[in-house]
Amino acid sequence: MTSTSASLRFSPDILSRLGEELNPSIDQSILELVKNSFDADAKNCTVVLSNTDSTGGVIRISDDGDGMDADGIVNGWLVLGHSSRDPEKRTRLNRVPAGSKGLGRLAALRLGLTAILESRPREKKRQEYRLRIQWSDYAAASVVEDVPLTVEEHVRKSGGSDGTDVTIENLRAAVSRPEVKRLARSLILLADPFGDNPEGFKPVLKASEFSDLEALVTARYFQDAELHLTAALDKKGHVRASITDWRGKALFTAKHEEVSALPGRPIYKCPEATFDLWAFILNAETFATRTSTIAEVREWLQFFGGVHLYQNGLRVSPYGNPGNDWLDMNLRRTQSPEERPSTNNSIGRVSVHETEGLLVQKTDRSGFIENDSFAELKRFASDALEWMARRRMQEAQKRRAREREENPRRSSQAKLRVSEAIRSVPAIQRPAVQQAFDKYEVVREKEIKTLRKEVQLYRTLSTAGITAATFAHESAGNPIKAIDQAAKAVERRARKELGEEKYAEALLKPVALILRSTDALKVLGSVTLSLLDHEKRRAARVDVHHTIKSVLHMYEPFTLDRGVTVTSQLASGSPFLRGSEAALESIVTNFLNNSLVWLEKLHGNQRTILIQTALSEGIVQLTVSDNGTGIEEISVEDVWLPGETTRPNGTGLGLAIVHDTVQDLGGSVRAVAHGGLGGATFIVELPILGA
Amino acid sequence: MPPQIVGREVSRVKVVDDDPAAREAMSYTVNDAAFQALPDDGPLPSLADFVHAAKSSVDAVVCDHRIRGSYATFTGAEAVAGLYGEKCPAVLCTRWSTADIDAMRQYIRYIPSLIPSDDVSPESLVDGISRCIQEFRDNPVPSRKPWRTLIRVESVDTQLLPALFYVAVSGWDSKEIIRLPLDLIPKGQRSLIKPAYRFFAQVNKGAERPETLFFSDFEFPSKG
Repeated sequence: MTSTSASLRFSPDILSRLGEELNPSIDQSILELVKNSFDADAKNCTVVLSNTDSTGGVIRISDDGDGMDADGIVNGWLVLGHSSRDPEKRTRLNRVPAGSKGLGRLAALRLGLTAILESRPREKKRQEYRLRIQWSDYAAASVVEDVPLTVEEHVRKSGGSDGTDVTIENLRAAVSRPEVKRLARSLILLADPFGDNPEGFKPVLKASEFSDLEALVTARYFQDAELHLTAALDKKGHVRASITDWRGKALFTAKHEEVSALPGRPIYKCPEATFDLWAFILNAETFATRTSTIAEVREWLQFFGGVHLYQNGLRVSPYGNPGNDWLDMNLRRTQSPEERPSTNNSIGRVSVHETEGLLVQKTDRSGFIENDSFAELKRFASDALEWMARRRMQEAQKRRAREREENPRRSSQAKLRVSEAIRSVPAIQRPAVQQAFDKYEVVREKEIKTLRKEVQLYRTLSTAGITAATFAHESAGNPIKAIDQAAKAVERRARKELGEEKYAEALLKPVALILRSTDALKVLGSVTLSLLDHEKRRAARVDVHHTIKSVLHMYEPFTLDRGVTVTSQLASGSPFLRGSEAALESIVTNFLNNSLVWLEKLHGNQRTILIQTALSEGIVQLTVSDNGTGIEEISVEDVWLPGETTRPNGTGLGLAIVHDTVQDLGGSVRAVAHGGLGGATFIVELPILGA
Repeated sequence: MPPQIVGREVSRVKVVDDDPAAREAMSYTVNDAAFQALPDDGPLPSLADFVHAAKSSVDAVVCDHRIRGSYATFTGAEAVAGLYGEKCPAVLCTRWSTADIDAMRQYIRYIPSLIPSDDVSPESLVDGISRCIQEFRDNPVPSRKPWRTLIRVESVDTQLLPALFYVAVSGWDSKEIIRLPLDLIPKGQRSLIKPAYRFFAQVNKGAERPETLFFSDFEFPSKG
């Protein structure tokens, strides 16, 4: 037998597959080199960008860590794809290594045509090691292994401090300003600048964008937060939480049983962790008593807001990045806006301390693998947020009750003070001032009455909704069921007893009418119940076209009955957004209700409603038009105001609900008095996730 | 001569509904199917006593799911599942509301005949009773045959009452997400239910609609 020894070999193309394609963003790639510095126990790490606003620039990453000798470079730094993370291992400074598979490093090194490594190991004070990688050598080779690399040993210059410099020369592409900004933000956030930074690791970027942001982050406006939530998860998986106000006064504390939301209050099966959240109330009244201004805090939150996640002292991207709402804070706020923080008005961090390797980062560094431990960590943070929301709601209710009690007293005190002031006015002017005040009081009373009426209207409608739902449950149940089955029994028995001919003559039509009317009654009930389905209020991916079609299907019996033709012209594709189906449904149903009401007034003509969608760059446009009388006697701006209606007995709430809902979904809405069909046209634009 | 359904004599059929009018209307349909309707005016005894009495006094039961208040201390789904254990054919009538389906999901394994209220007719009752008898003889209709099936958890919602989780059943329809109450899962295993977790269960993959899918005999791997 003859044999030929063989081994797997890699084409140079694999370098770009593993490097650039797996780590497409520059900031994440450079962060990997910075994490290498952390693992090397560096205290300082400097990233310098030179002439990077065009191709051919240079990036240099220097640290004062322990450096590497030839062996470390050959068997560590140059080995790609091997995770150096060892849960048991600690660095000299007792850091838990961030670990790296070397793929981000590869991507960073390949940003230029040449990469140069210079390292001065702590253990060999007189030596310095250099390695140069010329990427064009690989283009000429057929396999990666054919390109020899040499680690040169040199005598270290006297006074040369320990550490490693990586220089990436002749950049293939320019580094754009947004990329620099992102890199600056990532570097600042990397080593938990909000905490005590026990690791003492401080990465710095030499670029103007960095100093601006650094000034922002060091400003630390935590003391101006309205509330500070702290939740700590111990080794046994039990949570304790507390909320303090801006003066540091403890408002609430809770034990595990109160925070854990699942039935049976199970423990959290994830590593020890802490969660801090600082929630701000960004209004002038609140900031009147604070040391900073709203504008300062708003800008700070714009860059650093959201909940960041730290594993053993280092930030894990993308949690808390702009657009990354991993705890669904914005969605929860959309569902129930009162007293909930969003990523725009809060900042926080979840710090996890773990050495068992339960939380594993994905190879492309796009966060943790979503395993059980990560799901439990998320549950811990989400439950803490929910607990805070519950406590805040409770406080808000108490506050409202207090205000309701105190308002009449305050009002009469204020009135008394005004009367006293009027008495102090010279006698000759007094009647005029008194008269002006009396007039003001009349107007104010009127305004209060209007508001009371509006509140009462909302309550009445809510009660009507609840009652309709209750009756829908009952009527769809027993009475309709009994009528339906009894009518069918009459039909069966009469056919049998009378024969088909006599049945057709005497009973066919009335029985058919009973059955048809019963069907219509069933629809009334099912529409009400369908609108109230709590499933639809869940935040989820909502298919815009599917929701529109469902509403139209649900309305079909009504529109047919009223002789209204509803035509839909939906764009090709399936646009979807993140929100609740109920929200989108309420937009479409309120438009339909509005059109149906106005089309009632149209005599003689064909009644038409047209629903169209169009897609453009992350937006779905929904247009609802009818051939009714259009918007008259009220401006197109005022139709959205609650209580504004030109219809006798109209509530003026339908379009107000549409307006608020569209805003909650991050969109815009406008009305055209007389659109393409002659009647009103409403145009909604909503941001979508895809189509 | 009493009617025969798949070789079994079915004559006396108990009608269970808490509403007298609905009970009477259902009795017309039962009688039109050539059975003898025996409306139960209640109040019903305990579940065990009800099952015992029905087994010994009637050949089949037609039961509404929502039986409440002073009429019964158990639901229609619980009654039908109890009768299944005694091999007494029972047809359950429901409105298919999501709340009803959530409440009856854990019993669907033992409910061979689930008829929407709108579809109640002499023919559907005979067919329903026939499905029960076939299943008691270990020869279920294809839509009720259990298969060992991989289930993937898509999401969990503990903010709702009851707590729910959502699954994809690839062997049935990978695109349809099925909503299930968390109490379907044995208590000690509920903490396993998290997004992306996979487990096995016996599922009737031939079911025509998601509401009639049953999930039983769970097998939970320790890691998803």
